[in-house]
Amino acid sequence: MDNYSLGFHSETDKYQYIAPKGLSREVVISISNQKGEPDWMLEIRLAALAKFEEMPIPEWGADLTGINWEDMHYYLKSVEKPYTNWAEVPESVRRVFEEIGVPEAEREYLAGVGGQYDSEVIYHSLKEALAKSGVIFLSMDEGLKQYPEIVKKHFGKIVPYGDNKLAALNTAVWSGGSFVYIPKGVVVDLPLQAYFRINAENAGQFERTLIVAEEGSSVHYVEGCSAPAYSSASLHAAVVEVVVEKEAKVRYTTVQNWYKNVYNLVTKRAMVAKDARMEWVDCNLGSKVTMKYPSCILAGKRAHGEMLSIAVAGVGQQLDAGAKMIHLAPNTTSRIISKSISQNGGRSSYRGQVKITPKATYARSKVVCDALIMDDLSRSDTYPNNQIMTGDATLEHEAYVSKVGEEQLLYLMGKGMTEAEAQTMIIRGFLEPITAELPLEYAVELNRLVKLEMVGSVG
Amino acid sequence: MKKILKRYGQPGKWEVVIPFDKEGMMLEWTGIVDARDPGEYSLTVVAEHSALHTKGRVTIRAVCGEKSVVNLKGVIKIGNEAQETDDFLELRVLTLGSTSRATCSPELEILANNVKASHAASIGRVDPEQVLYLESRGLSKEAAEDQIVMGYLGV
Repeated sequence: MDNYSLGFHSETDKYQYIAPKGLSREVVISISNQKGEPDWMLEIRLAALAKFEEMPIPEWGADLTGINWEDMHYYLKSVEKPYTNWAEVPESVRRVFEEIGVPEAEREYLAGVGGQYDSEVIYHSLKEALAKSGVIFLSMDEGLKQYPEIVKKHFGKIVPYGDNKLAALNTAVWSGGSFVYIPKGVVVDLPLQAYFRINAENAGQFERTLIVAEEGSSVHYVEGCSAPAYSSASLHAAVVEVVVEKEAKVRYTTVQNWYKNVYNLVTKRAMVAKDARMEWVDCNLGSKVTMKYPSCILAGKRAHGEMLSIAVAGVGQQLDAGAKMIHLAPNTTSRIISKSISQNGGRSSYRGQVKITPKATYARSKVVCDALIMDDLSRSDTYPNNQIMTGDATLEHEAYVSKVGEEQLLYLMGKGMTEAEAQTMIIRGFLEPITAELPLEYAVELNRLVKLEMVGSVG
Repeated sequence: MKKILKRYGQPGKWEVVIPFDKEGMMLEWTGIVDARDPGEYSLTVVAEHSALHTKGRVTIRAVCGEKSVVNLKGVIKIGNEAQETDDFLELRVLTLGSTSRATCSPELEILANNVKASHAASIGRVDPEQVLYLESRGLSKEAAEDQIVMGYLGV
């Protein structure tokens, strides 16, 4: 990985607290005590820990045997509390975010910013006008302190800790993440952004995000991720819960660019009420292994769920991504569009499920998975599962896997392009339906990243 | 292209493996699942490509009546050595009643790059416009649906 521009790291001896390696009851209790959490949260954490130890490591999907569960720091505390001004953030940490360009982005086009460095959120701010209208954008720890009632009402309700082993782990040792609350009828025009960074070696990042969008509100939340170039594996196991109330709209965009030693195992799920809309936009470029299947539970009439995803798998990478749409109510609709590129021995898979339950009469769903495979070392798989439990529903699914079309290449080369230019253009066109949905700055960044990823195979 | 047609009219469970193991082999495989009688019908078809330059067309058409369950799984496997493969897998289920249940799992496992592999799956009701058209020609609703199902199954 010569072209990973985010691979620098800053010193790790400045931490206020580093949990001993490995996972135990003591570690969990110590995390909870340091955060000064209410008793009910500690109880959930301990119950989740017991569940984690009891559940087997998933055997389907990607190979997880490379994770050394014992040789990992589950909690790293870098600063006392989140700052609201970049000038106050300690120099060593601020430099990292400046390299990534976060403060600049905040000034220019974001409604709010959160930055997480290892386990703790170190920076958080929100535009004043939004704060006045009642919008809350805090780190999850602060959210729990200031709004324990809202957190208690929703925490672990959409993704309970028994859901899967990684969700149990996250619930036991979670730290950081975002807490977003949009009051009734408030429309947030500019995106809220969170930036996640793993800095220490052998560290786990377990952020926990809760987004609650009240009736008729609308918000766009964007997250970006990166990590330094270390040789041993790090683990990122996040849980994201999104509550989309009646007629509300939430879009959740992820640009995942972890370094290629990170295991990225994330559970994301949204509960979508009547006439509401949930959109996941998911771009996976980095990580060693990704297993991520954002879900929408379409619980109210006419609820809509959408998933737009891009995966670019290069050497040594296995990106197992997809989506889940669970239709529970009549006239619900969903759409999944997945685009993947495998190259230099990378492996990308689409794994998804559409379930239309007997009560979801006249539900409609459409799934499209397209894959490009660049060379004979790479692999591309599609594993969809479509279950229709009522005769009144409609489902369409289509997928194709191919290489870059020779005719298209020849046509463009006939117009005077080099082969590399032509390939780049075709790949851009292939990804266009999804990049078109990203905020401009991200679309530019993504195009740049894809180009970097594909150095050698495209120009 | 060589054609094979299979019919499945009774509840049951079937697994079919179609090997594409000779260079240049071409085959069109069609399976008809007539699940108008209540019961569970499960059909799995695996197209295994292990030789150069093979071409396949795999189609499963099913009709799923009241209280019937249809589970269709189609897999295209293309081994690393099977370059220049061209395969298309199609799974179609027509549901007749609101108690019809269907599962479609079209899967692709592709280890070669110079190939074309695609699949399509759909599950849905009889098009009400087609029924209305036939009704306007004097057919009863049941007769109209029967005609459409017969046409769909190609019988």
